[in-house]
Amino acid sequence: MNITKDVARQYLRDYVKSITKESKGKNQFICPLCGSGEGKHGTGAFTITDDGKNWKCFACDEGGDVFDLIGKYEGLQGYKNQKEWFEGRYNVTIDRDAVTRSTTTTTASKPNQDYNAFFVFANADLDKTDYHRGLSAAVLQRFNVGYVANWKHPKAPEAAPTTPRLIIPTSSESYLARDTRSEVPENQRDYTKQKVGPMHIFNLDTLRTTTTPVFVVEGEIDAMSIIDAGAEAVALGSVSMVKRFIDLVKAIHPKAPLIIALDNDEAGRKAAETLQEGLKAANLISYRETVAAGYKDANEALNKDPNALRANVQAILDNVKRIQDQAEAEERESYKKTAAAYSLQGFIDGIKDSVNTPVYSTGFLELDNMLDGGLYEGLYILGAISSLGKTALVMQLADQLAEAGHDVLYFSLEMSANELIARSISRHTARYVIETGKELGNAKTARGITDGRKYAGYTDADNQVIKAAINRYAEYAAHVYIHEGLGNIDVKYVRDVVEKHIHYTGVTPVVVIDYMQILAPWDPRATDKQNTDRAVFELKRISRDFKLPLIGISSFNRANYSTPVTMEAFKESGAIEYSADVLLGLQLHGAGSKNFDVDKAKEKNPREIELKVLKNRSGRTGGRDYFDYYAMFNLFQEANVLDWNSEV
Amino acid sequence: MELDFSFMDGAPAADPGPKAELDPGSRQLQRQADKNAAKIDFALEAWRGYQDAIKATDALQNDILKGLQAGAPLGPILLQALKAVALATNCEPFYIQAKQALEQNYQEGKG
Repeated sequence: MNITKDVARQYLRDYVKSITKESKGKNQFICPLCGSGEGKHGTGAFTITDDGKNWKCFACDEGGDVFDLIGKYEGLQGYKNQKEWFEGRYNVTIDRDAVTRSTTTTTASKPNQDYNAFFVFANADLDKTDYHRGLSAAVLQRFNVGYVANWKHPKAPEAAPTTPRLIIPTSSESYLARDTRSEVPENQRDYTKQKVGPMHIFNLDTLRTTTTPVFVVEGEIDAMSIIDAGAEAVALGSVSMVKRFIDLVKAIHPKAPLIIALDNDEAGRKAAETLQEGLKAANLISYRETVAAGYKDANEALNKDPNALRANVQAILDNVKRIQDQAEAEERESYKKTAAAYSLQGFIDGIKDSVNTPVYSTGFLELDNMLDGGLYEGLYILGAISSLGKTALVMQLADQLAEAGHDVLYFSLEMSANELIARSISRHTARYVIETGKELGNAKTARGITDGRKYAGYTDADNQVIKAAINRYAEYAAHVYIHEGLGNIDVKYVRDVVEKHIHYTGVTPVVVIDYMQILAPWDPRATDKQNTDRAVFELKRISRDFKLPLIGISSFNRANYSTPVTMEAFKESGAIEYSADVLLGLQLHGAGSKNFDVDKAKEKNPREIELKVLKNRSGRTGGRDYFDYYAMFNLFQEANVLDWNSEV
Repeated sequence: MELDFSFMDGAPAADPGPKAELDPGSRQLQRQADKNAAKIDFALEAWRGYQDAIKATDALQNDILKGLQAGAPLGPILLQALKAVALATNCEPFYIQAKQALEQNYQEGKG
């Protein structure tokens, strides 16, 4: 779908909802960048404008449109990258012309103040204070720390007093101004540490370049203290930046392990826990350490006992290195074991074990021959256009498996359990009549079974046939588990049920999905194809993880009505053709031949159906089986193609 | 699994009316049913014959035993025994041949 950039901006609310939660107040959210709104009052400063196209956080002073937010949150520089990410996420194309037009008419968001010149000025005056917090000159210079004797917040009222401040740059557009006075008047104590500009992680760039472990601390001065003690460190600036930091680290994916050493207080411990969990979820290595035992933070430790801090930092680095070396050795060994040589014994054992691995006979002699004996562990997909009896064939196959004593989990996403049972019993009425040499007039359709009103017109012979059919179904019904759903069954549900089934019964079932295209989407925002791809991938994993045959039914669209069934027909539904172990296609006899008339072929009674093996990863491809399909009784019988009249 | 069919058993069954005409598919299935019916009839016929033979053999065993206990002539008793063997093995020609040989070579079994 093509959209203009202006329309794309309207996705802002949707995107925001996907990355953060609403907070109190109209159009207000917890800021996904600085975390404002996570406090006990729940008042987020992140606001979306009434037209839904722009946002602003009054806590971290960031703002812009959806692309600005994508840039900051996903860590993507430049509109091109942000646009590509957006297009992938929402499966749309932003029209190039419209972008140009839109850009020219959009008011540029207000740029943040550049404080570089101010930092040079402040750094020149650093010697005018001895408030260096125990930090070495080298570290202070590395981070361009400065001093201003008469500082006032840029947004403070004109009448506000000036105070002496240590200036710690956190980026070119932000800094921390720390009051240097030893005695601060009561009414100014809330303002001893003031941040200017948007919130930035202090020394974040080190994560992109450093390969040795990096400490994560709260305060900028703590980070510099750790650096003075011989390691590398970044500072969150505030515990509210934990979520933002995790997202940034996910984007950077640093080579170095992180050592979490937040302040030794309740807020620090809580934030450290959240941080470690978030990093673990992102598959990033981190360790929690106490770098300033007995002190509130690293800077206090540096001031009280710098040698002890250095020793402690070194001990932590040594310990992390030892753990890292050990992990690397284990990983090296583990990697070496991916060589085929390590799999050979398992391969040989697999051959031995395969003696006990069941091959599930389909109950159709020729089909079993074509499939090398029947169904094995793996993903089987049966595809066809409508009215060829996909469900009828698979249901019959499922019943035949159950009759042979195998458990079958049938996930019916379209039909109710009662409809499926009625179809099975209808088939049994026909089979019973055939096997006992009785009158076909006594066999019943599914409707004839389920419609109680019809029974008033049934003879003794009719009733006898129905009872016999129900009793025959009852003989194996304990092996048939039907899970019906209307759009609420997804692959996760399938996995859960399979797990539960094996847990409670101790039996590995054959699984049937009827049908693939109406499985609940994995991601409601993704396209049908993307969701089917994901579903097929997950179903394949289920078949492999539980070592079971999984049969999925796939529906083709009308474009395939008159053509012979091929692997091409599966392409419309994504990657089915690649992931399936066995692809089976049904077609009407004669499909693709000259003068083939699909409607005429469908009218045939019985319908002449060909089953083609389009792909068989571990066996013969290209085989065909022929069936007479008696739709009235949902009955498939393998047929001799020579009995068929080729004129269709 | 015990199922409750009372809703079917309780209602009066309809009288079978004239046979409805079958659709082509059902006709094809009916032909299969008819073939099976013929097979079933044949098997039934064979089974009946087998049952009759068992009954007749039982009767002959009684007669043979009674004849031996009463000191009856051996010729007719032997014929009865041969008849029982023929019935048990479903081999009537054996009895006919044995009877002829007995009559010709031993002058036994006549009357």
